[in-house]
Amino acid sequence: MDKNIAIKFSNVTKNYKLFKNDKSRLADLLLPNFIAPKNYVIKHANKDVSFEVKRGESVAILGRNGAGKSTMLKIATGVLEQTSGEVYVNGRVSALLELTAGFDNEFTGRENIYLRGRLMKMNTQDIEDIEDIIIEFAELGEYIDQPVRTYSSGMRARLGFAINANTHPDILIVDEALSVGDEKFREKCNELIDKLIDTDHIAVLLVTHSIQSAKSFCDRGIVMRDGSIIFDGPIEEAVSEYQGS
Amino acid sequence: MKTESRHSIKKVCPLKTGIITVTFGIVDTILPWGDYSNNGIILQMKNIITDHRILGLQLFQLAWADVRRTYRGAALGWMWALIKPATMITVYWFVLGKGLRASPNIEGVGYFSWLIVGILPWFYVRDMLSAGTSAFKKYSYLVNKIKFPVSTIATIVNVSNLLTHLVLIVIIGVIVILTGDLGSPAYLLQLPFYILLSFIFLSLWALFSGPLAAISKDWSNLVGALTQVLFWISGILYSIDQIDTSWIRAVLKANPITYLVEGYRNSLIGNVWFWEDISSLVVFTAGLLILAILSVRTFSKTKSAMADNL
Repeated sequence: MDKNIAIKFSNVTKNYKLFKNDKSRLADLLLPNFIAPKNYVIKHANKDVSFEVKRGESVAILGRNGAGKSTMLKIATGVLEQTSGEVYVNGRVSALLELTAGFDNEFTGRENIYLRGRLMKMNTQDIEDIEDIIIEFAELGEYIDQPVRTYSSGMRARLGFAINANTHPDILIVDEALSVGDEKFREKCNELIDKLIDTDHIAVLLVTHSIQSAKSFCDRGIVMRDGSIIFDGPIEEAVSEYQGS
Repeated sequence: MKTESRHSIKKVCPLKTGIITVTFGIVDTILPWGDYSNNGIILQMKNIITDHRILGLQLFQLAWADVRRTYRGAALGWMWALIKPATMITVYWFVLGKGLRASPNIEGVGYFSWLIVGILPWFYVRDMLSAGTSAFKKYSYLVNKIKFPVSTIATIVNVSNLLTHLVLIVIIGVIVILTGDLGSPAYLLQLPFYILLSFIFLSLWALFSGPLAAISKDWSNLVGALTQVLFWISGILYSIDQIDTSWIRAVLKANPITYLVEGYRNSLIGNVWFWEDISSLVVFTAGLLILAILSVRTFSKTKSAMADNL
């Protein structure tokens, strides 16, 4: 496989089984081959999705609610498993999925930095090196030693982004999180992402409903509808495709 | 023909289908060759061990956070970890020891000491029967919001409960010393052995029960009901040896919880080494192995369904 490729999806399909009730779900789990197939409906969250992202590329994923964007990114992150198709991920993925961002609510912001760092396989020294950078970037001040449950959604998003962008990922995935930040913070994120792409040569995947941030962060856009990719190309064309759909 | 056979499936009474489903499910889980996920059990076990290696010492920090979470928000906080057991002990001691005068003296030890040492592992088991079952639901943000070594959640919850258990061991140990019923100190050396057995048993339990509860609410309800039954049949309030019918005695003694309860008694107030009753140890180990296979298979099969459902 080409070393320059960060993520490659080949004909990836993700089906959810929507069961009529809990009983059928349990029965399907215990006896998948013997259960009457009428007990559930199959929902295609992703249908035959194929694309490739190279290192140093930043791609906006556009689409209405329920188009399958989050499912696709969760598969790329490794949180969900695809039903069929091939997924190739080259390097460490750092993902900010939804706003709660996988923080432990009882941990302080600082403890969450350590937790996420460890999960990115960094040692204590590495984490100490980036700790102050993260705290400064997230603009949390004294709140960094308060439990995350006391944070506002903006604070969570800032900390989430700061951690994910600073733990030296090869691939950075950001789902919606930038939409809660204010203008100034978005500019800061923009600068950091540009820097990561130029100097560290990472790949960035960004889900957003804001045309403005899509245009400012990314050169390329993927438009999704009903679980499939309907357009993949330059950001300007992708945006007009998305607005037309 | 095809439609007809489907109709006949629907007519079968739900209880029967339920029983058949569960039986087949269990058999399939035990048999390494009844595999739908294309992964051998050895590989599945390796994956779970790798999960723990990835998390490393962070596991203990998460467990400590779990302890804090359990006792947060109550004015008495930590005290509840002691008040609840103390209430239970008082009630049982009063009703059985004083009211019914069922067992004034068992194995030459006062009933009070005999009771509190036996109920000590039960508190740990009881807490883990329910906490293990709800483990993955409680930590759903680790299952489907970030890439996390999911199987370690069972261990995190168990370590958290073990910490509370260790505190209780010290307190009850002191009470037993004060009552003068403490056995020969040498036997205390085997207490860590029984704590370890309890820990392994309950870790496997959480890995087995947690995923099932994440998929179906029926499972948590079933566990809740069974917990009551287990309390009365595990030789906590009365000695299994008092039962006359030999086969009932044998069945009750095969219960792993009975084995742990007796183990704690042997360590704190008894005078039996664990190798002196080798047949019980063998039965317990066999049960542990079956539970290990069940839990590894169940977890591996439901891992992806859990992320979809939670």
